[in-house]
Amino acid sequence: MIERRYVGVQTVGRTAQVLERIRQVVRSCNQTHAIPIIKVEKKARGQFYIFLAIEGVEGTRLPDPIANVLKLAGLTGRQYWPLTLSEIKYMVSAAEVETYGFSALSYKPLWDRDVGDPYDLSVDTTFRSETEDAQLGEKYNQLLYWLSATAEGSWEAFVRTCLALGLTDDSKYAQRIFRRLILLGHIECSKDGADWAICPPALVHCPSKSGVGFLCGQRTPKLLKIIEGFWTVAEYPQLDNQGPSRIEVRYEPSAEGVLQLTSGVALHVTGTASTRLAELLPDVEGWKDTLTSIEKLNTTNCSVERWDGSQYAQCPDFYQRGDKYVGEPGLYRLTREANSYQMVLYFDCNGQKWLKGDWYGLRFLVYRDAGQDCEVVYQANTNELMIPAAERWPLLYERALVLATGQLPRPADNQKWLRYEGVSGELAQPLASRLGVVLKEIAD
Amino acid sequence: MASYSDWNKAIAEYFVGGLPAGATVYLSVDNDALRDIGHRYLGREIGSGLVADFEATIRSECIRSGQVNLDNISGLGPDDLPRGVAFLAAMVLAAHRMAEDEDEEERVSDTNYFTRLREVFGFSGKGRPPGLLPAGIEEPLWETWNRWIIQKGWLPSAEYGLDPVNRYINYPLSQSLLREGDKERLEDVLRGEERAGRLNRAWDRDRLGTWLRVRGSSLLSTRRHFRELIQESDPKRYDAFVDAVYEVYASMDWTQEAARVRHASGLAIQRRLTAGLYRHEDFLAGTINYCLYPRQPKRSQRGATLKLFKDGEKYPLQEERPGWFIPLHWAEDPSGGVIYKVEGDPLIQELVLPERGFWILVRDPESPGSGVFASWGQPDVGQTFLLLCRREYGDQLQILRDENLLTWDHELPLTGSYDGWVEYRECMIVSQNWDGVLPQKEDLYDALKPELSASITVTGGLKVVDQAGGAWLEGLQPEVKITSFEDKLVRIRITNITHPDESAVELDAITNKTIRDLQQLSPGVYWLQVIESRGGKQVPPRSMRIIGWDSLDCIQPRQRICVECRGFSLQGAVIETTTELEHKDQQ
Repeated sequence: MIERRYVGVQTVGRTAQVLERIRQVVRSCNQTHAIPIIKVEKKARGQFYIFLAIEGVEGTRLPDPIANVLKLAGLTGRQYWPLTLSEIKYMVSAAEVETYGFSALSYKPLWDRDVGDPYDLSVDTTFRSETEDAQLGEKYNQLLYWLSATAEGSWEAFVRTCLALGLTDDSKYAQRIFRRLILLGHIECSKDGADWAICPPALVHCPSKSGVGFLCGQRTPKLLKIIEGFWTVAEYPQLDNQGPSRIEVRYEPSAEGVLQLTSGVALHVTGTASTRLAELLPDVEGWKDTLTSIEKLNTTNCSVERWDGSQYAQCPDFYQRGDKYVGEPGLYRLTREANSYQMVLYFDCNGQKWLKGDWYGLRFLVYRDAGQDCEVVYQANTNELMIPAAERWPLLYERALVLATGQLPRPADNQKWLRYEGVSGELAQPLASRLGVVLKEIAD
Repeated sequence: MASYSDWNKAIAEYFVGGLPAGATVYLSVDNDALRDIGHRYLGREIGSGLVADFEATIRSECIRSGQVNLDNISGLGPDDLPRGVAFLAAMVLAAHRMAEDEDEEERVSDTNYFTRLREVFGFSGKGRPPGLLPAGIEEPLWETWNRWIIQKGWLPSAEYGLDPVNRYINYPLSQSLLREGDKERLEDVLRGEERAGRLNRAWDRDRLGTWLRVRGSSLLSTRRHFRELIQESDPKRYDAFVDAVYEVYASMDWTQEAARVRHASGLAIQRRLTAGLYRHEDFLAGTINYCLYPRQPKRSQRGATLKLFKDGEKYPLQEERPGWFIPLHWAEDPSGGVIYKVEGDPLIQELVLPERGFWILVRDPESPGSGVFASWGQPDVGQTFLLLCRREYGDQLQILRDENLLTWDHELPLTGSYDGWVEYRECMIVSQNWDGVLPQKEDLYDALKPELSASITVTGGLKVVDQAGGAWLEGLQPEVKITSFEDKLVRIRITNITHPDESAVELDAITNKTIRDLQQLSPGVYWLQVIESRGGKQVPPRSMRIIGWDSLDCIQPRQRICVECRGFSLQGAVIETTTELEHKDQQ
């Protein structure tokens, strides 16, 4: 092995221009294999040394092709050859040396891949896809097919799939897509928000329509074909095609149970999942106990902001001393200084713990802490429940409403309210009661 | 006696068992392999004339009226396996036996080869066996085998020779990496090096590869065959040679005095599992953990359940993906040198985490965006990776950076139980001109020095993962480009393996630029090759699978996620009360 040696030449001019001239000459003379890199004094001005690495040359005579390169590049000054790396450093004394190569590869570090917290919905974001609405609906279906064929994965993988399908152009909107799929009963998210898993396929009875159910969970074109062999199936788009199609099934609801469709795939016939869930859900305190508690969180290496109702703001009144946290309960955003990783958590001051959960749910806790009365409007004759968008319910309770029909809520009154259809009184009342929300009934 | 189809199935499964997607398949049949297959796959006793049985079975199936007859063994069988694998194995066996009378001066010739092949088939005389004419009549069997390998997500290695004399015998010769006497010679050399303190018993494949590169030429040059392999210019074939040497090394019983004793008695080959590292980052807790990531043994038998012992507990080793078991949950010291006892296979006694001063970890090839890094292999040209190394390697890395051979984005010295280790993040090899830099740390230098000058890169699109390494969905195929250290014009050929009658597409491409005029591909398996490249080493070909949405299957998650509340658990719309769950557990 012949050690790499350098030829040094003193030259004048602007570094960038000199380097570009040398690069062009080296390439045009096909000498990139012999001259792999150039070194130059950092921040060189006026007169400076330039060093060309020469590969595979023994002896003290510079080969003709190399001499030719120097001549064509205008490096006609005195040549110092051969030099080693340490001799170069000695020649430029304290100055640092920069290295430039001929590699055609572009270097693009991918480390900063922050795709955000799937639970953080604090940024009000919309995404208007270029795709026609009908195609948009099909793309959401493809998302569900992909999720069903992949079965489980990371939040990052979910974001990248949404990007690949053109459903979003950033992770912020992907958070909303993620939430919609959970509401519709298609996927579940791990407690730390890092991973998702597909839900088993389920046929859910629609209480507002006799003999009608809809599909939740895992779904592929193959599986749909199999289901079509059993029952009559119809496909309806979600509102504004903002989710996978609602697949309505006409069937004779009999006993609930598991129907084995193909080897390895079982369809869960769940009955009226919405009211069943409403019966089982705890009150707010009970729900709060189910949230992931982060133990011994070190907030001293984080910047700390608190949600003030419209945005996150610095909160100098919060601090940590040892294991004790001092500050108001509320919704906080912690940004780790070392790597800018952000966490959105609820600070339970009395319990001295940090809770992770869906953003609307944590915001709901803030309202409750503040003693705010939340009110919803129920129209019994149309089975419609209206919830203020600013007081959206925690994910688990909202899911019970969505599972009544398999449809996402509709915005109403300039986006200030969310309208949930097919909600019976026996669904609305227990849910409102659990959450301590006032249910105001109106006639029309 | 086992039937031809039994041997056919067993041989095919033996040589692809435990292989990760993208691995190269070598049908490296020799007497040891046949004994191993006969014993472990066909349930026969060791040393019961298994090789003779195999030969007799081949003759019974493939010789008709005193002539070789390939009619019954072409194409695929009802089990979706190529019918001709056992026959091809017989051809490779003949190549393996050429070593016994090969001297230093004799050039490999077809006469020599066909003499051996005739012996396998029970013929005397010289030249092609009767019925195996005209020359190349057996080539469709090799092509079927290669196509099957590509469709299953691996890379084929059998190819015809460029020399017209050896054109067709190159197929079996290319599969026989180590010959009968080679293994014994290797074992003797390895034992000698170990006694001299220049070789460790618990190295992994990469570390042994460095030893081979540094010491191999001087220790093994007495055999022409070894010299050719050590000087092999095709990086994939050289890798396969290192793999073969490593297999010999990993199967050595260091308590035995010599290899000859073992081989003569026909004892079964003992094997040792190795593990890599799997990096897991808990963003919430702000911690990084390195876990044991066991490799599946090559030629593993399906259905065998292995268990690992640690601190008195048994941990089942379950497949995470072909070639790998699920990472074990405890934090492992990256220094390695740890040996765990394993049970569940009489031939596998232990699992080793090799002793290392550094680890090269790449992004998950199945899910590059997941943020997970592990020992899945070497980075491709232009691919960034994570280098975990002891602090002492810092100076060597700085020299490589100063010489514009390697770059990285930032480094993070680790703390706690990983004190003394540093993560160099987003490393990338930026040049192939490494020869002029003298290494301070030979092992790190050798591991980082690029073997390839270019690779075919596929990025983006939408992929689903399956046992064959994954496929892209129709309409969302990846971008293809030839990533290279140099800008140059190349020509790429894309062949539809699923429909071999379809004409291949050839396109001009400039390296490091996405190929723009690549049409939307219909579902199928495509073979991508660079067929013209001025200068530089061979660019390894690769496969790319496109599937239709209609072919997607529902897959079960390994770990279901449920919402757990007091009294019930919820998955989507499926509610199970605690009582129901308890009843289910009892059943």
